[in-house]
Amino acid sequence: MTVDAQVKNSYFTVKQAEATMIQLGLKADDNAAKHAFQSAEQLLSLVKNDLQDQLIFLAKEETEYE
Amino acid sequence: MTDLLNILLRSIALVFTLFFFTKWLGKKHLTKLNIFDYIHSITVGGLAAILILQIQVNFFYGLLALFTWFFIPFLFRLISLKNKAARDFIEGKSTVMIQNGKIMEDNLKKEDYSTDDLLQCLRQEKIFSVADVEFALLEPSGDLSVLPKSNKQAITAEDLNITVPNLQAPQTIIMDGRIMLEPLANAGLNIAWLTTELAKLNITKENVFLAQVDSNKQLIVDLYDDQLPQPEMMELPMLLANLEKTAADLQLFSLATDNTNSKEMYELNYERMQEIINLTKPYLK
Repeated sequence: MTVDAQVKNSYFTVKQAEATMIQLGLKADDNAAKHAFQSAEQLLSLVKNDLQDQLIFLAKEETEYE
Repeated sequence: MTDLLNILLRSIALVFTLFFFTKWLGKKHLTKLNIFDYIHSITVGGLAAILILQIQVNFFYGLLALFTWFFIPFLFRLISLKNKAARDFIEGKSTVMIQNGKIMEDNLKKEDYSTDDLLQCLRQEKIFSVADVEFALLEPSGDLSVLPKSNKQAITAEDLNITVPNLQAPQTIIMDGRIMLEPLANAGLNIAWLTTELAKLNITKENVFLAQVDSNKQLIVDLYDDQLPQPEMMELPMLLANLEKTAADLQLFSLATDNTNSKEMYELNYERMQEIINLTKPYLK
């Protein structure tokens, strides 16, 4: 698997985890759990954005290489 | 024959009378017996036996005696609830048996407790040395409440600085194959949610003997057919595993790349993933 495909894989895992965290945050009755899921969701959003930028960068590099 | 019928009728009448009188006194009476409650139980048992077997005794006189023996404890209970001094007199006060690791011999004698009795009570609390006890109180119910020395107390999650989720009682939402609507609503869920979750587990509600939902809205089911494997909700552990895998992948990417910017980005996000795992791990197990 190429680096691009591996990063893409991680990007989709993070995206899916972010959606699950939103769901868990909404469902949680315990305030501490709700806060933990919401903080995790915000951090995952940052990771997702960075990976998205990296995917664009990798795609550009690959085009230049070709 | 008449005598037999008389005994039968008296027994049936007394079963119901005692059942309702006991209900009237409340649950506390059943669990925490003080000295008066103990005497009360013996007397009521005696009265009931006399009323059933001695048919020459007027049944209604017996009922009056029983009523009196239930009414007076009820009255005592009411007075105890309103007045601390009366409560201390009726229910008794706690007695200090061990203070700062020292046995209070005078109190032991006062309560008619031998050293063996005290040691036995301590052993029941899993304490085998008096030196491990900071404080021990003999409660009016006869139970010994023990506070072990701080270095002998069990380690808590707080001591270890570990975050643990607040546990809430699980709601039983299917019992004997029937959906319990009230607990389902109490958990903030509905039949549509239940149907979806059961479909995820590939089972129908007709196959479920018991289903409970925990504070994380995770469904735990027990099936009628014990031969079938027990379905498990893997959603949360799977999420944790995915988070850990992604963190590991990011670390790997950072090691594999020569590009400084990319390396820094992967390292930063690896740390973020670690933070996410630490934050959510207690709730995803």
